[in-house]
Amino acid sequence: MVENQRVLGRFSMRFYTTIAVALLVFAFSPARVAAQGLTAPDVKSSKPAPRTADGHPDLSGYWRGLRDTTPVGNIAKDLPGHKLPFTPAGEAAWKHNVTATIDPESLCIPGGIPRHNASALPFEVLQGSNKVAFLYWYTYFRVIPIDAKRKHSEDPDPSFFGEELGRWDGDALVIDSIGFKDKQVWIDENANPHSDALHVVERWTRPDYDHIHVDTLIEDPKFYTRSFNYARTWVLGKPGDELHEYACSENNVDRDHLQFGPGPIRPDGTRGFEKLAPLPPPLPEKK
Amino acid sequence: MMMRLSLAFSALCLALAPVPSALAHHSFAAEFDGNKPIRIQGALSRLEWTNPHSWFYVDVKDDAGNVVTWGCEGASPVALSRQGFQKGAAKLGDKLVVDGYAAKDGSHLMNARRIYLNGKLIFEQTGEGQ
Repeated sequence: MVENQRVLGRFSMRFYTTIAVALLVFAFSPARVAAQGLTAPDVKSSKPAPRTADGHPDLSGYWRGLRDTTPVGNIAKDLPGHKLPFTPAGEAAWKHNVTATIDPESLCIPGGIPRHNASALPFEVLQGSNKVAFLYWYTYFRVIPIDAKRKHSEDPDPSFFGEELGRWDGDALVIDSIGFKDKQVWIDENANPHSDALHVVERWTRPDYDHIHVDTLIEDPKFYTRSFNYARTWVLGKPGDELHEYACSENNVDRDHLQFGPGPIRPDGTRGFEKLAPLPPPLPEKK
Repeated sequence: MMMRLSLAFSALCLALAPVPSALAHHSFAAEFDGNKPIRIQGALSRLEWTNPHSWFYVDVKDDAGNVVTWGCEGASPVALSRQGFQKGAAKLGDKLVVDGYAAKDGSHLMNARRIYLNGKLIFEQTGEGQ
């Protein structure tokens, strides 16, 4: 930074302004998301996945979503028409979510699983021999025991990530989760619901050095008539990429102004207005 | 001074930048109304370099001379730092004109889409955005 200032200091005011505006354009362009290292274009990889001393694939790394993954934040991404197989209770729960609940994550409540797997934000995996940790933005995390002999509890305490058990199935790390909360939870960013009967089975693989992939089976007989799948691939971050502190409650100005639901959902399954009203006319350009 | 001004342009506008909803901790459309375009003008009065979003505040005088402070939501400090910008670079008192979309609840919060600093257009987000 000091060196940058020294170099920039040699130029004229006009050039400074040019640099600033150029940076702004860059910063605000659609490419800005990628520029921040949050998502990334896909890459070809010829390197095999690394392995730990015990021979398993090492899933450790800082993982960024592929830029082409769409619609992000929609758990129905892989279903025809992005249509979820709601039961009547599930349909009612969805209506309740969009008309009477504020996005729990925007209130600094953990998104849980499978929502975090549908997020646009990067995450980090730290893998040990008998535990694996997933670290997320907002300073959330989950630590999963890897033990094929361990069984689910008879009556697990409900939680946002559920009671998670890990085991290896060949080169796939399988995480089987039950025991979820049924209040202040959205299964994704589009306000789709899940109940306390949610059962999630994630199969994590590292097909090569530069990619991590999950195939997810989602069952929730209270809210969905059948199980469905959610699959996604992420690309390895750059050297030095790491998570930072992100204290969600520090200055959450939005919490008192957010409305119920996620806002409009477009036909392509993404969130947002289809068309924005035009802004006021631009001001005359000042020389 | 020149460097400070240059960084002020950059940091101010980065912080005022609307954030794609996928990256924010809330949906744009859950808080702001795409059918409520608005223009405010006034002086930069406060910067909050905080999570989950940075905030810039602009003091706006109405026709009766009363001052109303508008808040403009920006990216998180982590996102700003990734671009190499530091807090304190923005200059309080700068004259701003900000076009954007107002909060749905009628509060004095907005999502900035176009920013003029001391009369010059320094940022414009094109396209439908969120």
